[in-house]
Amino acid sequence: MQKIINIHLAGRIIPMDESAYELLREYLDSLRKHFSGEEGGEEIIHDMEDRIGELFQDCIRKGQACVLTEDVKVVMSVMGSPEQIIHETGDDQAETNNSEHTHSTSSSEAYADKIVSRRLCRSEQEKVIGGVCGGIGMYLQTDPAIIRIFFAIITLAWGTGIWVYLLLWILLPVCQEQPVALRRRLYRNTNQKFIAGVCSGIASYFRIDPIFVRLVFLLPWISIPFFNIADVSNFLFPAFAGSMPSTLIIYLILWISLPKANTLTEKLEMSGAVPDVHNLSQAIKSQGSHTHPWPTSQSKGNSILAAILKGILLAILFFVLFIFLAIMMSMVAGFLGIASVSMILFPITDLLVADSMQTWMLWICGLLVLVLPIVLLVRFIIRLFKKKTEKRTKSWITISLITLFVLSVFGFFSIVGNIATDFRITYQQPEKYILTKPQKDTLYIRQQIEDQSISMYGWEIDTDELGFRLVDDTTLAISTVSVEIKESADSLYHINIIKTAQGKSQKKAMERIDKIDFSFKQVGDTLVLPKDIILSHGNPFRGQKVQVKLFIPKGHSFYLTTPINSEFRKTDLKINNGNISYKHRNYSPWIKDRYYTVGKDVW
Amino acid sequence: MNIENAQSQMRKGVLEFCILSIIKRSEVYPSEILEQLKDAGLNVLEGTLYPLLTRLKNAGFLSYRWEESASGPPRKYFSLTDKGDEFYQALAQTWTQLTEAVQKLTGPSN
Repeated sequence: MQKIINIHLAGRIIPMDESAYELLREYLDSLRKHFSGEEGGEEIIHDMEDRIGELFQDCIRKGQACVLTEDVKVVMSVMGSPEQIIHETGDDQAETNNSEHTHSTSSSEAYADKIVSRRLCRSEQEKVIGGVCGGIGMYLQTDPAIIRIFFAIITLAWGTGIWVYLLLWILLPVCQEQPVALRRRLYRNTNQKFIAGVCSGIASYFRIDPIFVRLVFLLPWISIPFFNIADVSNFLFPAFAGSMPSTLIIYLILWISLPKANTLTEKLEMSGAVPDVHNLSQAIKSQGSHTHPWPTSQSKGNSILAAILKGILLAILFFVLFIFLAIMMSMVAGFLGIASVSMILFPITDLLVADSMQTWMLWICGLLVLVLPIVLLVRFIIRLFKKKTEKRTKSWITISLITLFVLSVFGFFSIVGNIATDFRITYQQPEKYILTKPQKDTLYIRQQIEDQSISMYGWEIDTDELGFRLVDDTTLAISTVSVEIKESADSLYHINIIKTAQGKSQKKAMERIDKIDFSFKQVGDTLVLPKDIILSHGNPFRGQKVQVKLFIPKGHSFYLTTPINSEFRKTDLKINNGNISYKHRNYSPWIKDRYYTVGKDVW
Repeated sequence: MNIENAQSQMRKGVLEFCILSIIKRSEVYPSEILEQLKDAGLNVLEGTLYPLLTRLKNAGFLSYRWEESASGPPRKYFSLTDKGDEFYQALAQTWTQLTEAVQKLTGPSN
């Protein structure tokens, strides 16, 4: 049983069955191909179709329901086979046309010339974002995938790729003429694959033997034994060995992004041959010899070596992936640990972040940044092992995860940057006061914590160590107060208080300074100074500090009843036999419970 | 040397001339040309006619007009142009010379 196909031959409608149609189509196609280069070729074909139609109509008139294969064969013998026609009507023009057309590569090149765009334009069909890469690919006759990789690489150089792309997107016009797709595309050649066919695909594209591409990828690995044996130590070795992870990463990226050349058309596109009748039949013939993967056709020794090499490569690949995964997971664990601790120590985040919204954003973005790559990696590994049954329609999940990741990175860094700019401007504001002279010309100095403070949720922590303490649930106090004692220029006791704060702008900084509440008092002969600065909720740490400068007249003395902070704390970090220890030093030239005389001990 | 090759070479030589003669006699369309050729005993592959017709037309030796037909799509009716007529005359002359020479060569030896 056969399908009936109605065809239209130069004005006549002829019904014919499927196989007759196939035969006729082949016949007409080869005729058309041979006469296409000639002037008036279209007319010749049209006239021939007219005659063929006439002959077929005679068949039908004689009582047949439709044209059958035998009828087509009869007509073909009456008209003559294409070779015969060429031969019999040959003159110089036809002959030269023939010799051109039987050379398929030149014909495919001639075909290809028609598709090269004369102007650089944006492609409407071949586009992922704006068709820029597609258009450039058409103009240069290369696979747009290569252009995209090029853009991605130059984007690493301070985002050049993005600017160039946007510029081109605006400047280039959309392609007017729609060229038939000549495609010479970068595919993965899974027929000649070693691991994933990446190298074979690249090799087919550039029409070289895959072994060269594989050597390039394996270069870092080879270079290690090479340089060790040759014992040549110069700058080249680190360059080669160092490129190991990059070649691996590039290979992985190409593995994921390049499609497999499945259909015959794609396989031909891979090497840049036009998929016409000639090339396709050649490809089918040669397919038999290429369906074996690379090592099989070689000797047994080679195949064992190849298998070992393949095993080593895969092992190293998985090892690297594993390490990456482990690092990410530990980072997430650490992050979560910090997060949970700081949930308890919520004021700590208050220390840095002004409002709670920013805090939440910061934590969320940070978490996503660390978690999402793990998720994506796990998905990728699962897909690797799940083989071919995985449908590609799930890729929108991957895309949305990746988008989320990028957004989180941006969010995280933008918040961090936001906070950082808040430290930009430093502003100082001095206040000057005069103290009443104490009796006996001796000033007692005390530095203490004014208010009640709570211990931190049951932890006994030496707040001196930490440098801050919790006053209540939402208020923090930081010990950034320093006291200096100097000789007074006159006979009065002066106290200068210099408040410093930072902010995005001078105005902001000044606001923060105003918020600093540093109230000292003189009780009789004793000067009581606060030990730290209170930062309440909504007033984050922005470099607030207070410098107290005490000027005592010569000959008078002072006595410390409590230790005072003279300088800001310095922390010594010592690494000793693998142990890390730190010690805070409060550099203070004055110790307590001692009388110092200005002029003798202080000047 | 191929027999078919030599034969087709001979046919090739005269086909153009025969076609022009047919057209000179009267305005004809391609199927008619094929009929007359067959009737005269010249068995050509039909497909060889059309390239020749088009080339002759492109060279300016033939012209055609369309005419509606009762039984199917319109037909091309070919006729000789003046240039075509000149071309025909030259060919006819060559033909006469050729046949005379060949007859002399293949005739009974004197």
